[in-house]
Amino acid sequence: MKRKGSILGLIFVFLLAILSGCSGKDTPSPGKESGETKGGDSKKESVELSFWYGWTGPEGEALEKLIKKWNDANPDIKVKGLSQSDYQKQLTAITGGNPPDVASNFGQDVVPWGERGAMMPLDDYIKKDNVDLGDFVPAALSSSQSKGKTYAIPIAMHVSMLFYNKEVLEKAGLSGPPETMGQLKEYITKLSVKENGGKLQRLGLWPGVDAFTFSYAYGGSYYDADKKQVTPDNAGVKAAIEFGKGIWDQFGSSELDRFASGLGQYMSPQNPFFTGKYAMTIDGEWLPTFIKQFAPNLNYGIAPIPYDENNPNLKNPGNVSTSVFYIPKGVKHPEESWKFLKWITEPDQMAEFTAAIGNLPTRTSLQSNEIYKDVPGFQEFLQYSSSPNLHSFPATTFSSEYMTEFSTQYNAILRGEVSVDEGLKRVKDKIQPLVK
Amino acid sequence: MSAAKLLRTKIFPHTMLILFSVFFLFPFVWLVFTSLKSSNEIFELPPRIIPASFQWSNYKAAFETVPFGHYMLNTLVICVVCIIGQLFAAPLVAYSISRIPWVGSKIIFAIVLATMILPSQVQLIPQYIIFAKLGWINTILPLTIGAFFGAPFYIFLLRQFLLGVPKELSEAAKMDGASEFRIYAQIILPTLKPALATVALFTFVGAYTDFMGPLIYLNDSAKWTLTLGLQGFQQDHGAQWEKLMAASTIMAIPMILLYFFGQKYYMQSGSAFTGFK
Amino acid sequence: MRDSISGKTSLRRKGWTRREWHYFWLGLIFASPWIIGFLVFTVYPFFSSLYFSLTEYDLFNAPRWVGIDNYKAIMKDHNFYKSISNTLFMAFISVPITLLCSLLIAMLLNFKVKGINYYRTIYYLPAVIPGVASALLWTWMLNPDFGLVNIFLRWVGLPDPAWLLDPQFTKPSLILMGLWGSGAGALIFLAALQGVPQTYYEAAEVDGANWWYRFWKITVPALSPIILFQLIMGLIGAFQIFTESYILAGGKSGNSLGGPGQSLLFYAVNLYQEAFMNLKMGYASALAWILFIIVMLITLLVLKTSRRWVYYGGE
Repeated sequence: MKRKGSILGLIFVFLLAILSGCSGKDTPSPGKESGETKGGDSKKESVELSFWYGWTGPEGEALEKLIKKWNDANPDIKVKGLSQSDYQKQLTAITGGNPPDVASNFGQDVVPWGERGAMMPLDDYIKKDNVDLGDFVPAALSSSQSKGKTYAIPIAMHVSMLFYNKEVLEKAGLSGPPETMGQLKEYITKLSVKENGGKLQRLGLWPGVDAFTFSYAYGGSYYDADKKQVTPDNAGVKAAIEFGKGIWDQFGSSELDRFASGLGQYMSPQNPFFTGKYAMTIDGEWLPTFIKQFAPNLNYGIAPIPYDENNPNLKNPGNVSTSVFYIPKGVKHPEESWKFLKWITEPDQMAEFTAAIGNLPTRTSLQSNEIYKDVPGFQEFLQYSSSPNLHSFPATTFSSEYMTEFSTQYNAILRGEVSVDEGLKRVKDKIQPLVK
Repeated sequence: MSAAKLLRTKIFPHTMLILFSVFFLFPFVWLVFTSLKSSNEIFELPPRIIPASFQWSNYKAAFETVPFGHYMLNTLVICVVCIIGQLFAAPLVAYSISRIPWVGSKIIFAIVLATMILPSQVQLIPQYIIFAKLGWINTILPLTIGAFFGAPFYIFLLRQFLLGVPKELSEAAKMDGASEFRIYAQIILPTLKPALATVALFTFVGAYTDFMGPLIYLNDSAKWTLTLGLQGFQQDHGAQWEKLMAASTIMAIPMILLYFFGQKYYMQSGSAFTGFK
Repeated sequence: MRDSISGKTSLRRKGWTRREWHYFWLGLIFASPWIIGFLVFTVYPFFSSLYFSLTEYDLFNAPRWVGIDNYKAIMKDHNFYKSISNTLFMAFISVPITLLCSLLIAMLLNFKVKGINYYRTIYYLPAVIPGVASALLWTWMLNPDFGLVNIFLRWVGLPDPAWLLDPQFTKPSLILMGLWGSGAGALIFLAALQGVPQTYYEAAEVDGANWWYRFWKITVPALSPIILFQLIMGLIGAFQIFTESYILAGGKSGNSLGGPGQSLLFYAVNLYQEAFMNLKMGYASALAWILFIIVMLITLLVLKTSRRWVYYGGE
């Protein structure tokens, strides 16, 4: 009997040893970090913050430059940047209790995430350090706030406009960009080129593009806050979808799919707009900077998004969004995280970063800054960003599911799998129950 | 030999075998040739199969864009821990249900078989919640801990093997008063070596190729495995096929090498399945 | 010593000899890793997911009891039906096709010709390629204009579909990918084929039976237990298809998974999307339980019909 007990003991010790050995191998960082928190009171030991951001390539490098600057000046708070373009990973990291210390995201995620408890409210810190929120563009700031709490600080503002290839337009006998949606439709037909075999060589504008932007041209809206109703079947939204569908059907799914499968990488010289495969495109303020890097010889123009001729008061419509920095709930060094967050959104840093990647700053005091003098397209976009007809997708707890479902059904509508009405009804049926 | 027989026993089989070989081999040829094309050649019409000149720099570029070496290391750590776990647990359990005469052996064997057909998605969410509460998300623990409890398939495999090991082998030792654990460690385990090699090999392959596990549990790209790294590469550089194919080749090479060196174990596993009847 | 005494008394009560107890404890100790793992990682999750399926739970706020609301919502969710029909397509079309092909390949590999081992090596090779890499490779193989498959089809004068971009061809594309890796299944059949006594075939040949007859009357019945096993594993596998779809649809937050026209939205993909992208853990747990019930039903059904076509040789 004694022997048996010892075997049992042995096996358990063995099992435990392996388990602890394996966790020991793997969890040094949390262990080390908790040790640091204790030592953090003395403010002597250095802290390492992980900073996840969504920018990649040259944009990520621009941010790394700033991080290096911070690290050189702050040896006690070392920031380690990590380019991670999938924002969903942040959310699962937060639920798992091992979040990054500071992270970037799109403004539209702030309200859903903040209200869910994934983001740390920053108001106490803002008050303590007297950060002047009055300097921020109100629309950009408000997308980071909900129910009196500020969950994130916007670093950059994004607006989309119409880009057109001047050479291609001229060859087609078109002197300037389209101004109305009706003209846009004509342009697309004129600018699209088919090879004699019938294969698409060039497309006027990718018809699957951005129903959100066009729906604002038609005065559409996605949510009625007073009635607590989602409104994907709103007349303006429907008009935008029908516009997209009209162009789509002109070419047909199989033709467009084939064409799309031969398109190059977005952030490269093979970007279809750079190579002339798209005669026009709708894109953000960063595109001129990309063009400068990847296709410096491209002869292009920037124009307002076309408006609906029946709604001339809705001139200069479009979509506006932000990029933000925030501190996830459950971080181990909130003080240090805030210090870095505050520093990187200060005017100097914001100017350096947004100028490097050709984004619009969210601080009004920076808008006339000299640093943007050489940023291509900056003036056009800055001016456009003051248009009263720019809108954002409504910031609600269900925004991301709403946008996903909307895109799914939009795709199904374009492909003729469901009718416009049926597709939009499906969106409504799925999302309305999520409204609380 | 008559012409008809020659046709039936030689010509027909070879023709068919060669035809199918083309289907099985050509994607590899395409993979390697694409990985050596220049970025302009990728979208050239009419497409050419063999690149004009071999761009070995694509491999270098793939390594420079994404830290594949680092991902490889992460992957290997997971693989090794999983192998240790399986080699510890699976033979113990297999021994219990095949060589120890106790009531549990039949019950456990039945449950082991039943769990093989249980869809893993059923347990996925609660498991995730457990690991989240333990603070194990974004560590390799959720991906490796399971190995220390023995995977059903390996337990089954080892049990089949153990049934073929003559009982007399341990009877003699038992007469001499050796404990069950000593018999297990000194007599049975050594005879199990080839089967254990199969378990190690398949555990390695399983951990190396796993995608959903790392996708769910690893957030921080510094901790990613090769599968996640490759998928991340696709997300950010999806249309740079030459680099994507170079990266895919890099990922496939260890598996191909392992296959060539461990072929007999792969073949063994094929026969192991026939034991299911 | 006290242990052994108390052990003895309980032995008598249950009628177990000391020797039986000895082996009971030994067996338990040896099996303990699996028992612990089974209880913690299978039994507990199994039942707690039933509980979660009756709650609303986003991992941030405590689970909130909602009764069968999740199940009701699923019954109205078109994504659910789409994923079911896509998955059933794979289960009842792709699985049998793949099985039949691996069986034919196994028979091919069973020819006693020179160099057969080289063929076996080649045929199995694709099966060792990691799923992510092979999904990427096939995405490029099936590119409508620049992919090898269409280069070949155009060369022989056949129509060249858009494969992964055309909702009608996405699932056939997956089947094609699956066939490329069918060497693994073929190997299992091959091992079984080699166990079929040659005398059966010789006797049939003496009787003048043709190939077709021999295939259906000897090969298939002799292999039927293995076919059953592979069929069940294949069906369960169909309900777990994930990686290929995720890669082909280029999964990323903001993008919806499921490929063109949601034609690759499979059950496991939909479940992943609800659980880990929308953080609807309760809803996804309900999906998991529905999955469990469907898989059990299908398995039982197959097992039940199998009595009619599976022969356990000899006995």
